[in-house]
Amino acid sequence: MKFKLKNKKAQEELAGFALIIVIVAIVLLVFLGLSIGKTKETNLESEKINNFVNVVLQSTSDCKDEYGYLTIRKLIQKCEENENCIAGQNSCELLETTLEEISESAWLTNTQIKGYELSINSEKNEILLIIQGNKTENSLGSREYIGKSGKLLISFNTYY
Amino acid sequence: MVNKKAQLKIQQMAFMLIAVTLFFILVGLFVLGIKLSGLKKQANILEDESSLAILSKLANSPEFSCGEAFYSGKTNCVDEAKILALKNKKEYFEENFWGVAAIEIKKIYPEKKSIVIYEDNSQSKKYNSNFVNLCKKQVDSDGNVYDKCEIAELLVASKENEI
Repeated sequence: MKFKLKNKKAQEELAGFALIIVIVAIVLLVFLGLSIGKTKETNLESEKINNFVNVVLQSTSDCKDEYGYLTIRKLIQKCEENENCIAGQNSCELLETTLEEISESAWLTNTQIKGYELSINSEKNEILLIIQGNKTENSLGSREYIGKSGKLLISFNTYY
Repeated sequence: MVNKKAQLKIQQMAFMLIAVTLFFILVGLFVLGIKLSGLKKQANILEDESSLAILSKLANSPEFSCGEAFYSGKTNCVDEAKILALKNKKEYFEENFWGVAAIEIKKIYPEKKSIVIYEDNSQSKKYNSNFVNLCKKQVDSDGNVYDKCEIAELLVASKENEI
Protein backbone atom coordinates (compact mmCIF):
# COMPACT_ATOMS: atom_id res chain seq x y z
CA MET A 1 0.00 0.00 0.00
CA LYS A 2 2.82 2.35 0.98
CA PHE A 3 4.74 1.47 -2.22
CA LYS A 4 1.67 2.12 -4.40
CA LEU A 5 1.20 5.55 -2.85
CA LYS A 6 4.89 6.45 -3.38
CA ASN A 7 4.68 5.23 -6.99
CA LYS A 8 1.65 7.39 -7.69
CA LYS A 9 3.37 10.45 -6.16
CA ALA A 10 6.43 9.90 -8.37
CA GLN A 11 4.24 9.59 -11.44
CA GLU A 12 2.43 12.81 -10.56
CA GLU A 13 5.78 14.57 -10.12
CA LEU A 14 6.93 13.32 -13.51
CA ALA A 15 3.74 14.44 -15.20
CA GLY A 16 4.10 17.89 -13.60
CA PHE A 17 7.70 18.15 -14.73
CA ALA A 18 6.78 17.12 -18.28
CA LEU A 19 3.99 19.69 -18.31
CA ILE A 20 6.39 22.45 -17.25
CA ILE A 21 8.85 21.41 -19.96
CA VAL A 22 6.10 21.48 -22.59
CA ILE A 23 4.89 24.94 -21.46
CA VAL A 24 8.44 26.35 -21.46
CA ALA A 25 9.06 24.84 -24.90
CA ILE A 26 5.89 26.40 -26.33
CA VAL A 27 6.76 29.81 -24.88
CA LEU A 28 10.29 29.59 -26.24
CA LEU A 29 9.10 28.53 -29.69
CA VAL A 30 6.57 31.37 -29.86
CA PHE A 31 9.26 33.87 -28.84
CA LEU A 32 11.65 32.37 -31.39
CA GLY A 33 9.07 32.56 -34.15
CA LEU A 34 8.31 36.19 -33.35
CA SER A 35 11.95 37.25 -33.20
CA ILE A 36 12.79 35.59 -36.54
CA GLY A 37 9.62 36.70 -38.29
CA LYS A 38 10.19 40.41 -37.68
CA THR A 39 11.81 42.10 -40.67
CA LYS A 40 11.79 45.85 -40.70
CA GLU A 41 12.87 48.20 -43.43
CA THR A 42 12.98 51.28 -41.26
CA ASN A 43 16.36 52.42 -42.53
CA LEU A 44 15.36 52.54 -46.18
CA GLU A 45 11.86 53.81 -45.40
CA SER A 46 12.99 56.67 -43.17
CA GLU A 47 15.52 57.73 -45.80
CA LYS A 48 12.73 57.62 -48.38
CA ILE A 49 10.49 59.86 -46.23
CA ASN A 50 13.31 62.36 -45.64
CA ASN A 51 13.97 62.40 -49.33
CA PHE A 52 10.29 62.84 -50.14
CA VAL A 53 10.09 66.11 -48.17
CA ASN A 54 13.21 67.47 -49.88
CA VAL A 55 12.03 66.44 -53.33
CA VAL A 56 8.61 68.00 -52.78
CA LEU A 57 10.17 71.29 -51.64
CA GLN A 58 12.40 71.39 -54.73
CA SER A 59 9.65 70.61 -57.26
CA THR A 60 8.05 73.24 -59.48
CA SER A 61 4.54 74.46 -58.72
CA ASP A 62 1.95 76.05 -61.04
CA CYS A 63 2.33 79.39 -59.27
CA LYS A 64 4.22 82.08 -61.11
CA ASP A 65 5.59 85.41 -59.92
CA GLU A 66 7.46 88.12 -61.85
CA TYR A 67 10.63 85.95 -61.85
CA GLY A 68 9.04 82.72 -63.11
CA TYR A 69 7.49 79.54 -61.75
CA LEU A 70 7.95 79.00 -58.01
CA THR A 71 9.19 75.92 -56.26
CA ILE A 72 6.93 74.46 -53.56
CA ARG A 73 9.39 75.85 -50.98
CA LYS A 74 8.79 79.37 -52.29
CA LEU A 75 5.05 78.75 -52.63
CA ILE A 76 4.90 77.94 -48.90
CA GLN A 77 6.61 81.25 -48.13
CA LYS A 78 4.22 83.05 -50.46
CA CYS A 79 1.27 81.45 -48.68
CA GLU A 80 2.67 82.46 -45.29
CA GLU A 81 3.02 86.05 -46.52
CA ASN A 82 -0.58 85.94 -47.88
CA GLU A 83 0.53 86.81 -51.40
CA ASN A 84 -1.20 85.54 -54.52
CA CYS A 85 0.32 84.18 -57.72
CA ILE A 86 0.67 86.44 -60.75
CA ALA A 87 -2.23 84.65 -62.51
CA GLY A 88 -4.46 85.44 -59.54
CA GLN A 89 -4.50 81.99 -57.91
CA ASN A 90 -4.65 81.95 -54.12
CA SER A 91 -1.22 80.64 -53.08
CA CYS A 92 -2.54 78.78 -50.02
CA GLU A 93 -5.33 77.03 -51.93
CA LEU A 94 -2.91 76.07 -54.68
CA LEU A 95 -0.43 74.81 -52.10
CA GLU A 96 -3.06 72.65 -50.43
CA THR A 97 -4.34 71.04 -53.63
CA THR A 98 -0.81 70.49 -54.93
CA LEU A 99 0.43 68.84 -51.73
CA GLU A 100 -2.72 66.73 -51.46
CA GLU A 101 -2.25 65.41 -54.99
CA ILE A 102 1.47 64.77 -54.49
CA SER A 103 1.00 62.91 -51.20
CA GLU A 104 -1.83 60.81 -52.61
CA SER A 105 0.15 59.82 -55.71
CA ALA A 106 3.28 59.05 -53.72
CA TRP A 107 1.94 57.20 -50.68
CA LEU A 108 -1.58 55.90 -51.23
CA THR A 109 -0.32 53.21 -53.61
CA ASN A 110 1.92 51.85 -50.83
CA THR A 111 -0.03 49.02 -49.21
CA GLN A 112 2.15 49.03 -46.07
CA ILE A 113 1.02 52.52 -45.15
CA LYS A 114 -2.19 52.98 -43.19
CA GLY A 115 -2.13 56.77 -43.24
CA TYR A 116 -0.05 59.93 -43.37
CA GLU A 117 -0.03 63.46 -42.03
CA LEU A 118 1.54 66.51 -43.59
CA SER A 119 1.63 69.77 -41.72
CA ILE A 120 3.18 73.19 -42.23
CA ASN A 121 3.38 75.52 -39.25
CA SER A 122 4.76 78.97 -38.72
CA GLU A 123 5.65 80.34 -35.30
CA LYS A 124 2.22 81.92 -34.97
CA ASN A 125 -0.22 79.61 -36.72
CA GLU A 126 -0.89 76.46 -38.67
CA ILE A 127 -0.57 77.06 -42.41
CA LEU A 128 -1.62 73.64 -43.67
CA LEU A 129 -2.71 70.26 -42.36
CA ILE A 130 -3.39 67.23 -44.53
CA ILE A 131 -4.43 63.96 -42.87
CA GLN A 132 -5.20 60.85 -44.85
CA GLY A 133 -6.06 57.38 -43.53
CA ASN A 134 -5.57 56.21 -39.95
CA LYS A 135 -3.05 57.28 -37.34
CA THR A 136 -1.31 54.34 -35.66
CA GLU A 137 1.40 54.06 -33.01
CA ASN A 138 3.94 52.79 -35.55
CA SER A 139 5.15 55.82 -37.48
CA LEU A 140 8.10 57.25 -39.36
CA GLY A 141 8.52 60.94 -40.07
CA SER A 142 10.62 63.81 -41.26
CA ARG A 143 10.78 67.47 -40.23
CA GLU A 144 12.41 70.38 -41.96
CA TYR A 145 12.67 74.07 -41.18
CA ILE A 146 12.29 76.35 -44.17
CA GLY A 147 11.67 80.02 -44.87
CA LYS A 148 13.90 83.07 -44.82
CA SER A 149 14.64 82.80 -41.12
CA GLY A 150 13.90 79.07 -40.80
CA LYS A 151 10.70 79.70 -38.89
CA LEU A 152 8.42 77.54 -41.01
CA LEU A 153 8.26 73.90 -40.05
CA ILE A 154 7.17 71.25 -42.51
CA SER A 155 6.63 67.82 -41.03
CA PHE A 156 5.53 64.62 -42.69
CA ASN A 157 4.60 61.41 -40.88
CA THR A 158 3.61 58.05 -42.30
CA TYR A 159 1.72 55.50 -40.18
CA TYR A 160 2.20 51.74 -40.57
CA MET B 1 9.24 -6.44 -5.10
CA VAL B 2 12.86 -5.16 -5.13
CA ASN B 3 13.06 -5.89 -8.84
CA LYS B 4 9.92 -3.85 -9.54
CA LYS B 5 11.26 -0.93 -7.46
CA ALA B 6 14.51 -0.98 -9.42
CA GLN B 7 12.61 -1.03 -12.72
CA LEU B 8 10.60 1.96 -11.60
CA LYS B 9 13.77 3.82 -10.63
CA ILE B 10 15.30 3.08 -14.03
CA GLN B 11 12.11 4.27 -15.71
CA GLN B 12 12.17 7.43 -13.60
CA MET B 13 15.80 8.08 -14.54
CA ALA B 14 15.05 7.46 -18.22
CA PHE B 15 12.22 9.99 -18.08
CA MET B 16 14.49 12.48 -16.33
CA LEU B 17 17.25 11.99 -18.90
CA ILE B 18 14.80 12.50 -21.78
CA ALA B 19 13.38 15.61 -20.12
CA VAL B 20 16.83 17.08 -19.42
CA THR B 21 17.98 16.36 -22.99
CA LEU B 22 14.82 17.93 -24.40
CA PHE B 23 15.35 20.96 -22.19
CA PHE B 24 18.94 21.47 -23.37
CA ILE B 25 17.91 21.00 -27.00
CA LEU B 26 15.29 23.71 -26.58
CA VAL B 27 17.75 26.04 -24.88
CA GLY B 28 20.18 25.40 -27.76
CA LEU B 29 17.46 26.14 -30.29
CA PHE B 30 16.59 29.34 -28.45
CA VAL B 31 20.20 30.58 -28.47
CA LEU B 32 20.58 29.59 -32.12
CA GLY B 33 17.35 31.40 -32.96
CA ILE B 34 18.52 34.60 -31.31
CA LYS B 35 21.86 34.41 -33.11
CA LEU B 36 20.18 33.69 -36.46
CA SER B 37 17.67 36.51 -36.03
CA GLY B 38 20.59 38.84 -35.31
CA LEU B 39 22.27 37.71 -38.50
CA LYS B 40 19.08 38.19 -40.47
CA LYS B 41 18.67 41.70 -39.03
CA GLN B 42 22.28 42.49 -39.88
CA ALA B 43 21.78 41.17 -43.41
CA ASN B 44 18.66 43.32 -43.81
CA ILE B 45 20.49 46.43 -42.60
CA LEU B 46 23.40 45.73 -44.96
CA GLU B 47 21.00 45.14 -47.84
CA ASP B 48 19.19 48.41 -47.06
CA GLU B 49 22.44 50.33 -46.88
CA SER B 50 23.61 48.82 -50.12
CA SER B 51 20.32 49.70 -51.85
CA LEU B 52 20.49 53.24 -50.52
CA ALA B 53 24.07 53.58 -51.71
CA ILE B 54 23.17 52.34 -55.21
CA LEU B 55 20.10 54.62 -55.41
CA SER B 56 21.97 57.67 -54.16
CA LYS B 57 25.00 56.91 -56.35
CA LEU B 58 22.81 56.58 -59.42
CA ALA B 59 20.74 59.72 -58.79
CA ASN B 60 23.86 61.78 -58.23
CA SER B 61 26.02 60.19 -60.93
CA PRO B 62 27.11 62.39 -63.89
CA GLU B 63 24.99 60.21 -66.20
CA PHE B 64 21.78 61.08 -64.34
CA SER B 65 22.18 64.16 -62.15
CA CYS B 66 21.02 67.66 -63.03
CA GLY B 67 24.40 69.15 -62.16
CA GLU B 68 24.36 72.91 -62.56
CA ALA B 69 21.81 72.86 -65.38
CA PHE B 70 18.83 73.41 -63.10
CA TYR B 71 19.41 75.87 -60.30
CA SER B 72 22.47 75.01 -58.24
CA GLY B 73 22.67 72.74 -55.24
CA LYS B 74 19.88 70.28 -55.97
CA THR B 75 20.46 66.79 -54.63
CA ASN B 76 18.62 63.71 -55.86
CA CYS B 77 17.79 65.57 -59.04
CA VAL B 78 17.67 63.64 -62.31
CA ASP B 79 17.93 65.29 -65.72
CA GLU B 80 15.14 64.00 -67.97
CA ALA B 81 17.07 64.78 -71.16
CA LYS B 82 20.01 62.63 -69.98
CA ILE B 83 17.67 59.77 -69.18
CA LEU B 84 16.04 59.84 -72.59
CA ALA B 85 19.48 59.89 -74.20
CA LEU B 86 20.63 56.87 -72.15
CA LYS B 87 17.44 54.89 -72.55
CA ASN B 88 17.95 51.42 -74.04
CA LYS B 89 21.75 51.74 -74.18
CA LYS B 90 22.19 48.28 -72.72
CA GLU B 91 25.93 47.87 -73.37
CA TYR B 92 26.70 51.14 -71.63
CA PHE B 93 24.90 50.04 -68.45
CA GLU B 94 26.44 46.57 -68.52
CA GLU B 95 29.91 48.11 -68.68
CA ASN B 96 29.46 50.94 -66.18
CA PHE B 97 26.77 49.90 -63.71
CA TRP B 98 27.95 46.67 -62.16
CA GLY B 99 25.39 44.84 -60.05
CA VAL B 100 22.41 46.76 -61.40
CA ALA B 101 19.75 44.60 -63.05
CA ALA B 102 17.22 47.30 -63.96
CA ILE B 103 16.73 51.07 -63.72
CA GLU B 104 13.32 52.68 -64.05
CA ILE B 105 11.87 56.13 -63.47
CA LYS B 106 8.26 56.32 -62.34
CA LYS B 107 6.79 59.81 -62.65
CA ILE B 108 4.44 60.56 -59.75
CA TYR B 109 3.41 64.18 -60.10
CA PRO B 110 1.94 65.95 -62.05
CA GLU B 111 1.65 63.13 -64.59
CA LYS B 112 2.00 59.41 -63.99
CA LYS B 113 4.30 57.63 -66.39
CA SER B 114 6.99 54.97 -66.29
CA ILE B 115 10.26 55.12 -68.20
CA VAL B 116 12.34 51.93 -68.28
CA ILE B 117 15.93 53.04 -68.75
CA TYR B 118 17.68 49.70 -68.54
CA GLU B 119 16.69 46.10 -67.94
CA ASP B 120 18.87 43.03 -68.18
CA ASN B 121 17.72 39.48 -68.87
CA SER B 122 17.92 38.22 -65.27
CA GLN B 123 14.76 36.63 -63.94
CA SER B 124 14.85 37.50 -60.24
CA LYS B 125 15.06 41.19 -59.56
CA LYS B 126 14.56 42.96 -56.25
CA TYR B 127 13.50 46.57 -56.70
CA ASN B 128 14.24 49.40 -54.28
CA SER B 129 13.14 52.96 -54.78
CA ASN B 130 13.70 56.50 -53.65
CA PHE B 131 12.13 59.82 -54.55
CA VAL B 132 13.90 62.15 -56.98
CA ASN B 133 13.20 65.38 -58.83
CA LEU B 134 12.94 64.85 -62.56
CA CYS B 135 13.88 68.14 -64.17
CA LYS B 136 13.68 69.42 -67.72
CA LYS B 137 13.74 72.73 -69.57
CA GLN B 138 10.30 73.82 -70.70
CA VAL B 139 8.91 76.75 -72.65
CA ASP B 140 5.95 78.62 -71.15
CA SER B 141 3.09 80.32 -73.00
CA ASP B 142 5.10 83.57 -73.28
CA GLY B 143 7.99 81.77 -74.95
CA ASN B 144 10.24 81.89 -71.90
CA VAL B 145 12.36 78.89 -70.99
CA TYR B 146 12.00 77.74 -67.40
CA ASP B 147 13.06 74.77 -65.23
CA LYS B 148 10.29 72.28 -64.58
CA CYS B 149 11.04 69.81 -61.82
CA GLU B 150 8.53 67.02 -61.36
CA ILE B 151 8.37 64.34 -58.68
CA ALA B 152 9.38 60.82 -59.57
CA GLU B 153 10.54 57.58 -58.05
CA LEU B 154 13.86 56.10 -59.10
CA LEU B 155 13.59 52.31 -59.04
CA VAL B 156 16.72 50.24 -59.11
CA ALA B 157 16.85 46.47 -59.17
CA SER B 158 20.00 44.84 -58.01
CA LYS B 159 21.04 41.36 -59.08
CA GLU B 160 19.89 39.38 -56.05
CA ASN B 161 23.01 37.29 -55.48
CA GLU B 162 25.30 40.29 -55.67
CA ILE B 163 23.99 42.10 -52.61
